[in-house]
Amino acid sequence: MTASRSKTGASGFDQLFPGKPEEGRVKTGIVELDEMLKGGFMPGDAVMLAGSAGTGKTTLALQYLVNGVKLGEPGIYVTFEELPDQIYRDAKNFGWDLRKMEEQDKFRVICTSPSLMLESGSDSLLDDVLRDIQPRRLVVDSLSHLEMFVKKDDMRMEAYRVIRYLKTRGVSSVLLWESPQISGGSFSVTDVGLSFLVDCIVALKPVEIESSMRKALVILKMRGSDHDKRLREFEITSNGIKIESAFTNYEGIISGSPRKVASEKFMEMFRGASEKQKKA
Amino acid sequence: MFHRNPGLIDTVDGVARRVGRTTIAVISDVRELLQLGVLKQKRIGNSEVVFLDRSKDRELLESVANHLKTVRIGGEK
Repeated sequence: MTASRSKTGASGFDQLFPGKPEEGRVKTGIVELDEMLKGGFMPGDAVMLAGSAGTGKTTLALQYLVNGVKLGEPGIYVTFEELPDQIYRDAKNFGWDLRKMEEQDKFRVICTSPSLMLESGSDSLLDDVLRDIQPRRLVVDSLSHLEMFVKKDDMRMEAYRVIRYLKTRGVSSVLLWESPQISGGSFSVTDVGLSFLVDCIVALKPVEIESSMRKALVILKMRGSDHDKRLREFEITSNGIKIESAFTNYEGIISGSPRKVASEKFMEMFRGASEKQKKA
Repeated sequence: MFHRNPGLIDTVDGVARRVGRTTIAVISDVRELLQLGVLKQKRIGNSEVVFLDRSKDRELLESVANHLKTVRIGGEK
């Protein structure tokens, strides 16, 4: 495993991970996120990446797969909406040449209908591609689309089937979920009880602080592992997702009403008073 | 469509919807590509899906490129 990693690793990539990597973790390749996850996702886990539109779910999911390829772990991106052509184009803006990875049989973008993904005959839609490229990672963009094809009561059972299909094949999956509920006062990830089916939940959320829109990332759940519980700010840069420091001076971010913590307010008042004194 | 989107796996209805056309409008093109072997067919549950045969697509592109090269060399002579 280590040998193939060094063989396939891009120049400079190994520098991001000096020393011995944490055994048995599936690294996202985003250093700060891996630190938050105490080394990466647990192997074979189903991870839900939830957030409202424009929060960076697709970018983060693609970055996870691209970094996987660099670590010698082939990946598959399943999309129900966008055509592969558009995914290639968007990825290229971040410097990720998905077509080249496909030519090397290390990556596949699969575009299909959710109803076909749910077909449960002897042949599954993904059987051939799983056999061809032997992926270690797979992204479904998005699980929310399945809702259009199944009754709300059946959604949990169908999602469970998709998750089990991937788990039994040893694939670590990231399932995207469009979650408008993460903004505002009432906080829930899904309204169909999927949070219990997945092993890990990473939530992305836009937050308004002092009249500017910023983005926050938080790990809400991680079965069988400790993780960073803080809300971290992140940006979408020309190289992908970049995670910044925690929102330590604010509270109420998840509920949608961020305000400065009392100690910070006191410090501001104190600074203001001492400045006034100096001027006087 | 399939060359630019090699990972597209869908029913003929689904393919038509993605290109903004009706099934009737695309069915003859799909049949022709199936006959050429560029597209393959597979049954998934109750649905028949079509998808690109990547190696056949590569093979055809190479033969077209070789043909164009030959024509060009012939023209220069």
